[in-house]
Amino acid sequence: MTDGSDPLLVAEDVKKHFTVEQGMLDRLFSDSEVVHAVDGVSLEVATEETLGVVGESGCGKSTLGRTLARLHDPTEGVIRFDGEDISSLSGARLKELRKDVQMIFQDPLSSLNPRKAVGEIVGKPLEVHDIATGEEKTARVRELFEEVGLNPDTRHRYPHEFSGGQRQRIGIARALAVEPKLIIADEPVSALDVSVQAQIINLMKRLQAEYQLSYVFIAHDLSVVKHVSDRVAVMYLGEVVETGPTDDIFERPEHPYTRSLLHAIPSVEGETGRREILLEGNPPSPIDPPTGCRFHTRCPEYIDGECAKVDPELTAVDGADTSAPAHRVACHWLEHDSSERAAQSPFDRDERGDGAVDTGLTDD
Amino acid sequence: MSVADRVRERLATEEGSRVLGIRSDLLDRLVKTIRLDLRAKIGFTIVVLFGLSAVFAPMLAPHDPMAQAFGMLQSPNPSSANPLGTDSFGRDLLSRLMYGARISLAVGLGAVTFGALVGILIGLFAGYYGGWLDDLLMRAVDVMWAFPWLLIAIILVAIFGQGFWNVMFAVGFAYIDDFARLARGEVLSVREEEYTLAAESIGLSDTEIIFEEVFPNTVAPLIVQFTVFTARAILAESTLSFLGLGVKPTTPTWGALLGQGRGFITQAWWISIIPGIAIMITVLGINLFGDALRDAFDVKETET
Amino acid sequence: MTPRTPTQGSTREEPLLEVENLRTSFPTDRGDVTAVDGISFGVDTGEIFGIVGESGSGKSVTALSILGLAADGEVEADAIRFRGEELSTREMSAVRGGEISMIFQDPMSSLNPVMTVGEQIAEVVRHHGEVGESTGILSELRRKYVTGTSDSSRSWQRAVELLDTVGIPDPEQRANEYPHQLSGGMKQRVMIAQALAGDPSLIIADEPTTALDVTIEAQILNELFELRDEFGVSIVLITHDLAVVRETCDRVAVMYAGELMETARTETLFDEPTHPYTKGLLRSIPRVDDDREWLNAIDGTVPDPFNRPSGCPFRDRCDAAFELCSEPLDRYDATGTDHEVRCHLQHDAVDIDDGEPVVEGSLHSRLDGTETEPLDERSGVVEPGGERQ
Repeated sequence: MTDGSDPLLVAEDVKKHFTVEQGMLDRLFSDSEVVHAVDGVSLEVATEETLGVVGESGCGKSTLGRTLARLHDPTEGVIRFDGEDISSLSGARLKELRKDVQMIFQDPLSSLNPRKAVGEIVGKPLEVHDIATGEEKTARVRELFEEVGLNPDTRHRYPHEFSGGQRQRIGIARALAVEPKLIIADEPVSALDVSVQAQIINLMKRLQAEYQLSYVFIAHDLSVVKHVSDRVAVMYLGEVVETGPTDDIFERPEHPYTRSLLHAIPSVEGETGRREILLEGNPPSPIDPPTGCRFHTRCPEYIDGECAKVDPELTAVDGADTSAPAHRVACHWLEHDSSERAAQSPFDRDERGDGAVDTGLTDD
Repeated sequence: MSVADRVRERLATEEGSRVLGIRSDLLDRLVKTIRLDLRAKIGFTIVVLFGLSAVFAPMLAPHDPMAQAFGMLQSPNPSSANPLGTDSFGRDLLSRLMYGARISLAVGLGAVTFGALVGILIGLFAGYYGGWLDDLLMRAVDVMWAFPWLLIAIILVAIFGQGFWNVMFAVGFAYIDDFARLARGEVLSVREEEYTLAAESIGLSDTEIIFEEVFPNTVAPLIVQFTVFTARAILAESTLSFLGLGVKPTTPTWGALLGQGRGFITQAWWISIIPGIAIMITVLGINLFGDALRDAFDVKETET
Repeated sequence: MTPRTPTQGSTREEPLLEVENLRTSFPTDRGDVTAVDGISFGVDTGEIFGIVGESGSGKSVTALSILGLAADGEVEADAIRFRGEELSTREMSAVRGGEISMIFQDPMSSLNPVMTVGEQIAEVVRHHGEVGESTGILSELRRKYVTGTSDSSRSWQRAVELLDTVGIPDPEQRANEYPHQLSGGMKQRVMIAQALAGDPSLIIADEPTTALDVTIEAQILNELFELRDEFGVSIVLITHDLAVVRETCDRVAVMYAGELMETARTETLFDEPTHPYTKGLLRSIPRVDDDREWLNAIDGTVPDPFNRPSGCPFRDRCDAAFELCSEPLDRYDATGTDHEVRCHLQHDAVDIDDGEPVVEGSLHSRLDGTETEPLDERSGVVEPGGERQ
């Protein structure tokens, strides 16, 4: 069906709003508060591609993942998988979709039923979709265990008897059982130790090549996202503020939020010492998001009079081709001259400052 | 190799192998718990002993529980013919106790099973779906809770009349709200766990998720509740019998025995005390057995 | 294992906190679990000392043991010295909260949800500082549940001051708020303010930024820096995050399966990691500026605490494991001062030949006549590939 040019998954202006849980009386007599968890996200994922989704906690990235996997019904917008509109599937057709789209969860212990043997957990999708039963199922479960690097003879044990990394392997085996085309991985390594993180990342990359998988890889750790993704979408308060090929995002970030995030990454190499704080405070509440650009309340490059009024659209950088995979940013600075920005931006301060001092010294 | 071992080997805990719908490895754990834990052993013994004597009362009882021996009216003391003595009508107390166990245990277990079935179903659906269904079901439960159980039982018995089934439902009706509330609370915490989401993502339907993923994880406190309430239901049946609203005035039940003996407590204390002791031991046994069940079903307990 | 005094040959002055051969074990149904197995280290005045390790490495238990907070744990140590004075675990709990205080990972579960944050800090101030306010149970109960601490009392004013110190805007108003009204980063600041209330000279921070986003993490770590710079407080920072260690700590100890594998100044550790475990950890981290197709993962998992291998606990996962690794670990000095490694590769009698460690013959007699396992037996030990149970 996909001929390489058609993306596997397309989201168009997807929104997911939640009503704040209330008592019966509130529900009957008052207007409810709405959380704008995902507020107009458009993105696409090509076959065998990994799209990284990053952002701070509460930015809506997990909700986006679950909505794309149709664990939530989108409030608005269209999600297309393999050309088919899946935004409002239900019943048998939704179950059919589950064979193509699977999820891996953040907390490998919480995502495994503690009262089921792990073999039963991995075999369940086979049973649900009538893929294999009896002997055949057992054989397939053994195969899946081998595939993710677990001893098949441990399949009678319970989740609590495994280490964190092994549990995540079980979660991956379960997702893999139906041989899906797309796996949405919600922070799959953030609960794991560093040495185990690398094992799981390597495993996911190997499986991607072996099974021609596409991934939506949701994470808050930018270095992990950089490592696994082909393209990246940066989310802030329910919106994508910058998206594009991984190298563009990491080497030529345009949005002040992306720049601040990259600035805040601690590293195990390069210069030591403190990180400069460019992002003060906390993200505002998604119940009542700021007007205009949602980032303007914390933005180190705030433009007076513009940012608070108009919500910027995602626009291609440098007039590059306007198709979805290109580097696109939602920021008013794109409408301005770049030298004007450099004069104000704290991100360019170093070069600016050093340059001035240097010139002064050499002139002497 | 014992028969049990061979059966177990045949079942060899392959994924999903079940005995009577219960996973065989859980049965294994139950056997192990009973073997290792003294309290579990005591509870199991009491439950089995009382259960058997109730089931086989017609064969085991030394006398017909209804047969009156007028000779005994003047000397109700325990003797070799009547090990526990006789009641005011000269009927053998041991036989009446054994026959009484049939009604008391059946009403007790039956009533709680009824209450648990209905209550847990309400709780599961209310907790899982939330929203208006939750409001509707739980408010209904609140209304039930607002009436004293005895009043409900009396009303029900008054409307439908005395009799085994009516008494059982009347007693069980009072437990629906407790089970519903407990089950709902458990479901609310289980629903937060990602494995319910994972189950949805592999394509399980809501009903499958409720019964396969959610219910097994709420079962531990429900078992404890079940055993505590079984004990209470036996007492409740006794209360109804004591008030003359029980199964049938002439049928021997523990509560009725206790009630009939109260007039003679100064002359023949054992007539009321012995049924009381029987109730107490049963309650204790069921509670101990319930703890064993809970431990066995908690797979997270470290194995020794 | 022979206990040794730590920091031999060190030119540093007497450490503020000195721990010698600390061992903590927990009795369980399946026998004792040794969580901390004979570790020694020292923390200088005004120093930020990092203890880095994976989950289950015993790094948190180490902190709790020092403070006498390891519930049900059996804590033994040759010595725990604070300001040069030896303290028993009981005396340790007396200085706890005052001279030594602790910051926990999860501020939500460490703060009392039904008391305002100002109240919680003021309480610590009263108990440890000399503000001359009654700390009797009745006056505490009255303050907590009836009247609240008076705004004009010294303990309250100090609480507000502390909230200001840790960078909370609007401290007068924030002091009257409950923990759930604050964001994660704010709560962690409150925890730090609370830790400061007893005027500590040492703060032990257990994963203080793990629950926070990177941008907030940077803010909190800056707060810790400022505490050190302004008040000369020493900080023991326990974390799993090597990047955090690198930007924050002066010295760092790498912990694995209850033992300290390598202790060094931070630059030294990152520039010249010597222990195979440290090297492996550093290699396994994805970095923003690397172009590796595959990460260099360390295969396998941490040893089962009930079934720890003899000798070096890392040898099952170590690429460089050789015959000596089944012997109890010993401490060796590596490059320069202040760099200690517990790895037999550092033994004088071990040469590296073609990348393979070779043991000189004279060594075996020096190991108290203990027999060394023949070389071919280790093939069963070192099994790369797959994380198998």
